[in-house]
Amino acid sequence: MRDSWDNMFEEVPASFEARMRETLSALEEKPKIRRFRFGTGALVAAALLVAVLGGTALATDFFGLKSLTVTDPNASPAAVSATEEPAGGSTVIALQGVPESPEFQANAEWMDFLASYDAAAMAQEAAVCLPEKYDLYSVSTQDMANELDRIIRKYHLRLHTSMTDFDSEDTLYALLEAEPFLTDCAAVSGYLYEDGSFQAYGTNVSGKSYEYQLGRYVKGAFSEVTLNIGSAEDYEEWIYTTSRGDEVQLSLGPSRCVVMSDQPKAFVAINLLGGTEGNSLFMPEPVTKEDLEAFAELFDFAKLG
Amino acid sequence: MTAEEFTVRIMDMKKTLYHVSCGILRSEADREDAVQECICKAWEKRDSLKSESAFRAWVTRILINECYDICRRGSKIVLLDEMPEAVAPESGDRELRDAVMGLEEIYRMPILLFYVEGFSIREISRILQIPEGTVKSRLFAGRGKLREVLSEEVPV
Repeated sequence: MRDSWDNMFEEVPASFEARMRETLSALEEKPKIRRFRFGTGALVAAALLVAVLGGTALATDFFGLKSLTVTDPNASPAAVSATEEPAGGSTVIALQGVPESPEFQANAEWMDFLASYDAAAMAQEAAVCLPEKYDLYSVSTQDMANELDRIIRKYHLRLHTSMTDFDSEDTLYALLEAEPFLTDCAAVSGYLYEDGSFQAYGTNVSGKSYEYQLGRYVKGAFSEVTLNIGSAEDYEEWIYTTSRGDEVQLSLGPSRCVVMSDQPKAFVAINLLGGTEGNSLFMPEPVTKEDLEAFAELFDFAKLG
Repeated sequence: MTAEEFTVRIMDMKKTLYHVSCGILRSEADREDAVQECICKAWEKRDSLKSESAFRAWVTRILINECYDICRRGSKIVLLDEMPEAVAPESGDRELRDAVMGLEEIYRMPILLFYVEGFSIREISRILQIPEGTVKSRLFAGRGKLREVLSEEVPV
């Protein structure tokens, strides 16, 4: 069956390969054929951003995206740890809770482990048949299973046991037995875990066209979801209280925005697929602070939490 | 990384680069432009790559960005539901290829990267800059859509 995928495309056209070779040979002759284009304007803008962020008054319960940084599990063992500035302005954050929460700390510890563990090599050395309870996690060896067990014991968490897909708002509400919590929802689909945690991909119908990923992480469960946000330094962050009275943390970035709310029963994290620079695919128009606050109004966080 | 090493690694990826560009761009000329820009940028920024083991995923991400830039330049506003279906070259397993290329962008790229290019869920998450869970759900949904189109079991 694998052959079907392998045969999906024919050979690379000669013209494509020729263009590659031509480009590569030009690099060999003159390695640095381009120049970075960071001019004075960009430096001034960066300085202004730093000044704005530095001057922002933070609420006592404010936590910034940077505080949610975890080790990038794709980094090599020798690469930077979560406590250091990631290379190339790439920051990976956990989405399950505030920094002091067991859900966040457990995920951070798991990411540390994954980054230091060569699962592919270990799996080849000792293929094992692992119990079903690890099916929903990145576990492929007994060592990984043991480490995950240790972490969930340490933080008194439970593993998810089953996943159900949904493809509409109504189905999601029915599965959750919940009151509607989305406003102006055009479409939503995703998957729901047995405890009501879910990941959804949604769009709205009115105002600006928003595409987003909504995650509800019920407290007490272990989740290994992470999000690469680029450089955490590029975000403007503030606390916003919605018209329903929900306090949320808003993070406005160049190519994405993040909305987070810590509710009594669940942590809610929304990844808006657009930012201040616009997004070529999902949201062509730039997102402003006002847009992001309006976007937060589309969700009833208290009902989600 | 020397120019020679870089060249070898890039040429080793030629199929991947071609398939990924096919997943986003319709025109052969655009694909060639995208891969040229991608190679230039990867070469220019090669020192920023911390781990050489991530080279393939890193270059693929650069190519995807270049492809989207070309889409954006071609049409000021590219809405997801207006994204053209990518047109793959003739021959190969045509039925499966047409089905994959007919998928919406959000399903097409994870399917291509996972099944055709063999990237892991984590690598795809990094390449597409979406959470791993979203990669999984898009693969799941994409497989379902392929089944509907092909009316048979999707090869896995």
